[in-house]
Amino acid sequence: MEATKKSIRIRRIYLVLAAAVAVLAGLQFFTAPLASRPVTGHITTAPKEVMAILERSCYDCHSNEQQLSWFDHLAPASWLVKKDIDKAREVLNFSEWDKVSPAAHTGNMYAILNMLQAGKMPLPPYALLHPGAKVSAAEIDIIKKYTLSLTSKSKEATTASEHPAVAGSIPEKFPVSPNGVKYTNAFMQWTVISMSTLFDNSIRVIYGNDIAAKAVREENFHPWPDGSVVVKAVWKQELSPEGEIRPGEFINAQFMEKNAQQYKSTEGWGFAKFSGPSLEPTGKTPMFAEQSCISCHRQLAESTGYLFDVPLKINPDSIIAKIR
Amino acid sequence: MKYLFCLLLTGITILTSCTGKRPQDEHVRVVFDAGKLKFIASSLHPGQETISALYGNEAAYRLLSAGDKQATGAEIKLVTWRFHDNPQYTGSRINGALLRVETVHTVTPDSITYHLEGNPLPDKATAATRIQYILGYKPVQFPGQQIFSHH
Ligand code: HEC
Ligand code: HEC
Repeated sequence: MEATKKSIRIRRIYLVLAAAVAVLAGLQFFTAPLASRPVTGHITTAPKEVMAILERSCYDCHSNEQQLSWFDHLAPASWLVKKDIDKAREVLNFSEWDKVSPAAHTGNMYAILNMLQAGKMPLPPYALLHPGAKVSAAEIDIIKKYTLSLTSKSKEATTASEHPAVAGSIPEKFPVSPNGVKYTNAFMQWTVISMSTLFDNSIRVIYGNDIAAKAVREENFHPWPDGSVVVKAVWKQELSPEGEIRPGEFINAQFMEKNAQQYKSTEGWGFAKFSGPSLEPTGKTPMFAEQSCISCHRQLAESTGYLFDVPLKINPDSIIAKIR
Repeated sequence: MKYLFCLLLTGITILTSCTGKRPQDEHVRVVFDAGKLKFIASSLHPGQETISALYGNEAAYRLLSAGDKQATGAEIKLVTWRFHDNPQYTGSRINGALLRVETVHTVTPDSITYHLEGNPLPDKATAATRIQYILGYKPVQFPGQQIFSHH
């Protein structure tokens, strides 16, 4: 009596196991293979030690030259792997570096350095399953030294020249970004939230409308209220006769407009960039912001609601009374 | 009775310790409120590690853009901050500690007032040299647009 009960139980366990294996095996038929794409160009200017780190820790996702483990190929894990690779190659692809200008190379190296310093790359779940891909503090230093060397000897700000005549070259109608964000010159009347500079010898001013300025003062970042609009105006640096740096030629105006419903795939922010005297919008399709804006803001500025240039929390509150 | 007295005494001590001292300064994110003035220009001083924003009214904009030295009623504020590495991004810098606010008011072309709040100037410049320096700023350029459009 006891023996038959036991054998029935064992048979059940086998049945469940067999079913699980069958389901898993079946799943494999639903695995779309990773699109194979040709290698068109690698980084050619970085030292060997830098390349060794990138190849070992990043190429599985950010390249056309994956060397995946057997378990990465098993569904359903393989679906996640494929999704990550598709996304990763869209934003940064070490096998298609021929498409990357020298200025973009520098920008990408800074993005890489910042991702490593923040512990965001390689993606933590991947690093857990592939311990060999972890990047050590000493390796981050190697990347840092190389990255900083790219800008240490870069050109100085140009000395003041006559401002190029830009008046009158504005298009009749203000441009619209492919994702629907409209350019407006109203920002020139808004509150200045902060000012910044970047390694690329530019100087920036970040404006916010009333909703955004209020959100900063109240630290209402999670989430920022709908209707917040932040505009960053970017100029080239120019050397003044006093030996100071002043904003020179206008480069672009970048927008972030909060609408949780409309911009779901980019954390509720509508990104846009309008460049040059004609305010040429960046992007060919509404997808451009997913491909070229949100990853960096999402990974590195999450703690302030995906904005980098919020004023630092370092001034005593008594200062506000003093300066009025 | 003795016990009650003790209680009263501690009560008074607690009360006075709360009201006697100013509450500890809290750190806040400061967005400078320029009132009716608009952002017109900025500057970065690598040696002093400062970054400044210049705000003004329409008369100030005219004075600075056209060098219209006869402009009266110009109100200007030059707000200077220390710049810091952006903690969220190596390679970027952002304004941080607020250092000083300088105010210039051109009552008439011959009567210009100057006022400084906050930290003293590093080079102990006189009011006259600061006025000359501040009136030497040029407005930032936007494609085909002006900060004050109707004049
Ligand atoms: C498991 C796959 C995976 C690995 C391995 C990986 N990444 Fe990523 N990476 C991603 C994904 C996915 C994104 C997009 C993240 C997002 O949109 O939030 C991304 C985004 C980035 C970005 C942002 C690019 C931009 O312009 O916005 C950088 C920089 C980056 N990764 C660097 C690295 C570096 C450096 C390594 C190696 C140390 C690495 N990644 C390893 C998947 C990966
Ligand atoms: C590699 C990282 C990275 C990418 C990609 C990126 N940004 Fe940023 N963004 C930054 C950093 C760092 C700052 C703060 C420094 C500065 O002032 O530029 C910033 C600031 C901004 C700001 C000012 C508000 C804020 O977040 O502080 C706007 C607006 C903005 N970016 C728009 C864009 C748009 C539009 C795109 C895509 C076309 C984009 N960004 C792509 C890193 C990035």
